[in-house]
Amino acid sequence: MLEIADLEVAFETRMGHVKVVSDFSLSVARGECVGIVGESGAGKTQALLAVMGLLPRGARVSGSARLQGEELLGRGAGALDEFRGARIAMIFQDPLTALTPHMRVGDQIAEVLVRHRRLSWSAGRERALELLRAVHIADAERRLRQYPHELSGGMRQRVMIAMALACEPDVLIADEPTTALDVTVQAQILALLAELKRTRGMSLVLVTHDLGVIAGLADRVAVMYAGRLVEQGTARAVLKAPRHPYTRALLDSMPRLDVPSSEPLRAIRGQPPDPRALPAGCAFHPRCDLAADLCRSARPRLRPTGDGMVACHRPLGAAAGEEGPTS
Amino acid sequence: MSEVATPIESGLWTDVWQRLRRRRSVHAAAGVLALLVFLAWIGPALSPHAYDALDWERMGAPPQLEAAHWLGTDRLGRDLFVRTLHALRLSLLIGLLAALVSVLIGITWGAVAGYFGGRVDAVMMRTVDVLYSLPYVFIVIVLASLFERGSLAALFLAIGAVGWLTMARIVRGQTLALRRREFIEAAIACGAGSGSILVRHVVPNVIGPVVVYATLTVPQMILFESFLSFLGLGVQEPLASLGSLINDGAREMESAPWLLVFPAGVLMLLLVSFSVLGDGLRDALDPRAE
Repeated sequence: MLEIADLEVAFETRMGHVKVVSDFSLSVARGECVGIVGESGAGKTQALLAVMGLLPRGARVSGSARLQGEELLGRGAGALDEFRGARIAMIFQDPLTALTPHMRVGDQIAEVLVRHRRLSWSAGRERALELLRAVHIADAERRLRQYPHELSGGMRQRVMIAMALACEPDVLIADEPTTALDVTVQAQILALLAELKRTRGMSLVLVTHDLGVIAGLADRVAVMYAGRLVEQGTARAVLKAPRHPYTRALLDSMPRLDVPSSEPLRAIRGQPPDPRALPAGCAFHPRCDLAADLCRSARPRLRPTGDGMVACHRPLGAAAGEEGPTS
Repeated sequence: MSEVATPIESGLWTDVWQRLRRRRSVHAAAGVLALLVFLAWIGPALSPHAYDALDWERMGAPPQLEAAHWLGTDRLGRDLFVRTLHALRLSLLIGLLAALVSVLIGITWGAVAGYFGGRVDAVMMRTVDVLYSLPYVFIVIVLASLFERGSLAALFLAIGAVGWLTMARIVRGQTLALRRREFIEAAIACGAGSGSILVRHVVPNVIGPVVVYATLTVPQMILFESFLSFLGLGVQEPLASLGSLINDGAREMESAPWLLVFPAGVLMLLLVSFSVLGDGLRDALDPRAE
């Protein structure tokens, strides 16, 4: 459905050419949910903004992103507008800032339909009403005529989802859809996304830094660090038996209910690197407990391992001799 | 989900309207304006005189009740009450029309420049800068020599040439601030083209400062027009605008002060009401001014 290959995103800044995403490749099948995980600044959002053509003017993008075989990168804004909202849609992190403040919620949903399906505004509003019901917003007739600030955070996110669904896109990209919501609402939104994925066979790309969200929803997981993929695999495999030390460290850093609260949290020491000054060799080595000389000098490439891929010279769980240093 | 009380539906304008209504100064200004408009409309019908009728027996007469010259007459014997109201009508018309045109041009120019940025913005705003810096009197004199006296076309050209400039700058600034907001990005992500985004997402959001400035533009236009009339480009005899009446009255100030006082008073009332209204609107639109 969606095939991203060798995506690279860089920005021209006063300090020169800064790469924020490198060698990013991902494929998403129909009806599959792929989660992209990583710390803030890992480049997850930039990669997907590049696919949607939403990067600012100073961005340099190379590589390929194909939606059902059709190339998205390099198209002009006008041509890309045919895809955006209709075949590939995106929902953003903060629904309050992502919804237009002075437009009624129903009109914002209707606008997508008027634009892509050539409906009249009244027909668009009727369809918007159906969509509001589909995302389980109570009292939909009244909500239709309200403004974003009159709705709660969870309802606003549902409105955004309704907007994204309006034209039944093939792929829905969700950029941290629950980060701005409290936990109970988070669960509802995730349940909604799961239901939509199931009933509509829609592909979902879920970007988040929250592993719990991934565990509940994703079929496959890709882990990003410093702009690169470091691990990929089925959700079960990656979460239960991660191969990359970074993934392991991420999982270990999650607070757990079954561990006494007197135990200190296991944070990953150090900070994510500045994309302008990446460490030599493996970008993770300054924070890695397993770093060896090879890690400091040669950058590991993504190699297949079992069902997934990992980019590490000393992946976890490797039997002796099974995988030598990658270069 | 049940609620104790149904919240009042509130849009931007409902809030603004309520805030406007709370201020007494706005009430007063609105009342004065309404009265002036009403007088301009039907006032002349109250008087038996026509605005260009000469009363040979009472030339330069002070305000009096006999012969129904309530505000007096001018040097040629024309009734001041009727002339002032006619002038009010003309000034209002010119002011509102000119303000409307400059708002429309200014919004379009500014929004396009601010939204597209880059070279488009540079070219458009440099044009504004150049027009801004042209000596206005120069333009007026050129126009006055090209057109016949009293040509309304020339008048509107002169006013139109500069009226929209500041509006364009304001709208451009607002649009620039808005351009990188998330909801614009989200609208693009939904496939909306630049035209729709400008019309539905940008302009309604910048309309606040625009309305305020538009309200303050009307008195500006009226003053403009009086300046132009003085230079020979505006309305000519026997038509009168408030500006031309004031100019005539200023000349007769010592011998017939009423010729100055009444038109000037009306103009002052008009300008102050618009300003108070504009002020009230600005405060009403600022959500933090509570």
